[in-house]
Amino acid sequence: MKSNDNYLKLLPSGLRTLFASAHLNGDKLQEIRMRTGRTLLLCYDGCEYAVSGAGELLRQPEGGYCVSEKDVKETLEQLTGYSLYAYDQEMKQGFLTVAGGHRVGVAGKIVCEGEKIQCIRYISGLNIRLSHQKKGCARELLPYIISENDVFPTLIISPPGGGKTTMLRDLIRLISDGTENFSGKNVGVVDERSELAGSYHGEPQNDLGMRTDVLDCCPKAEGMMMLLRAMSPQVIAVDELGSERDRYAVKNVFYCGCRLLATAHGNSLEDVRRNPLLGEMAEAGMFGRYVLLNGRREPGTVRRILDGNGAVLFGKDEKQTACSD
Amino acid sequence: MDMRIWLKLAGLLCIFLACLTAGMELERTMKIRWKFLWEMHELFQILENEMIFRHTAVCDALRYAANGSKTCLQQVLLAAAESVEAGGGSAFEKIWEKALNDLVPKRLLKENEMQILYQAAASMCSSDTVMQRTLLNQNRDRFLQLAEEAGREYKEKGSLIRRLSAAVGAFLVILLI
Repeated sequence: MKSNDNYLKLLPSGLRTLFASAHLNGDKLQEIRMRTGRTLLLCYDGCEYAVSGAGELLRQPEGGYCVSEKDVKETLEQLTGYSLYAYDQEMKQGFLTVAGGHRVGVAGKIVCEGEKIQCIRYISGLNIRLSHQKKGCARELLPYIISENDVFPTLIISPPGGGKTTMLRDLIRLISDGTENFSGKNVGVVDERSELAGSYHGEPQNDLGMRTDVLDCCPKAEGMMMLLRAMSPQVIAVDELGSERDRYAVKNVFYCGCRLLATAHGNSLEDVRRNPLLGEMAEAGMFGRYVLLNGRREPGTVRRILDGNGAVLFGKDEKQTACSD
Repeated sequence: MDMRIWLKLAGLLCIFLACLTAGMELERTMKIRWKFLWEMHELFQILENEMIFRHTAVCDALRYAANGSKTCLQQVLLAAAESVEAGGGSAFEKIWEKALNDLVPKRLLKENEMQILYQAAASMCSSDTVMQRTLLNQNRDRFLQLAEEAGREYKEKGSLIRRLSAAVGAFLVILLI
């Protein structure tokens, strides 16, 4: 059962032993949640589990391994290579990206100066989100996204944990590398939270294709403008679009003839339309394709594909009215 | 001259040299201790610059600091940097303690100095960056104080010990003659 236990390197020796005795398949392990004084929880194969001291997976948190302050401290040391200071800037955003492209969310006491976050102290919670590169998961999606060697501006929609970043990552790789019927494009990626490329010390840990340029830890709005000015991309990809700050840059991308690939949180097109920026973009017909994913139950799988007018191209038609009205 | 007299003279010379060497060795240990503590003080200055202002990873900062060291501290820093890079999963305190125990000669430092050295690990690696900065400053000042004390001790007692050892040697020679 055991395979791909690279994730063990992220953990201190105590927890490493615990996880090794649980014989988990690293490919199915999605999240490790550690909260001081609470039960250690895992998101494994789409379900939540606790782990007993003997390494058994438990469906109920009772009897599960309780995380100590020392566990959190040592895990953080291990994740940062004993150099928390090196991650100072990332920590201010509440996360850090570690070798392998895994993202670690941190919770603790936020120290502010005015409205600006200075640092996080007394870290009491960690959420290790293991990065899984699922090469080929967007292959079936690709024919709906491209047309005559061009790419439709596409918005991938799913609730958190639905696999939209994984899907976007693979889509970028396919568009960048090209396929038998589709020649590769220059893709610019603005990776604000290091989730797409999983860059570690500036080097992408995930395969985003041979024609992809990555701006790591760069705010989306600034990054899109930088790419437009400097890298002449044919396609620009960003994760979690929707803030007001992105408005100017997004419009520039569209009016410069660049194609935008983006993701957004939501369950349906209706949800997206409630967002001021995305709603305006949908109204103006800026997106040529909407890809709705199945969500947490089947992360990374497509539920429906809609065209720019909301007409269903793939998937069940039953909720079409809810999505396109 | 009789062979016995030659032997006696050689023995006396050996006794005199042994006393002298013991004194010089004691003086040298005091000097190394002073240098070691001074390098520890400098280490915290370097670590503060590298880690806080340049955001260098601790293993690189330790290696950088090791370049400037001329005592056994160099080996300690390199060993700690290697263990950090290996990512064995141990806590930093343990890595640092092991490097110190393995590479610092047993009689070089006093017990309280070793304890301060062990505790210094908290300032090199902490999950609280604000506290870490404070601890780095504290340790830098603490080791400056220790180095100054060791320096004073060396200057005051070093030459005295050397002279005393020569005197003891001479006394023993006279006694035996």
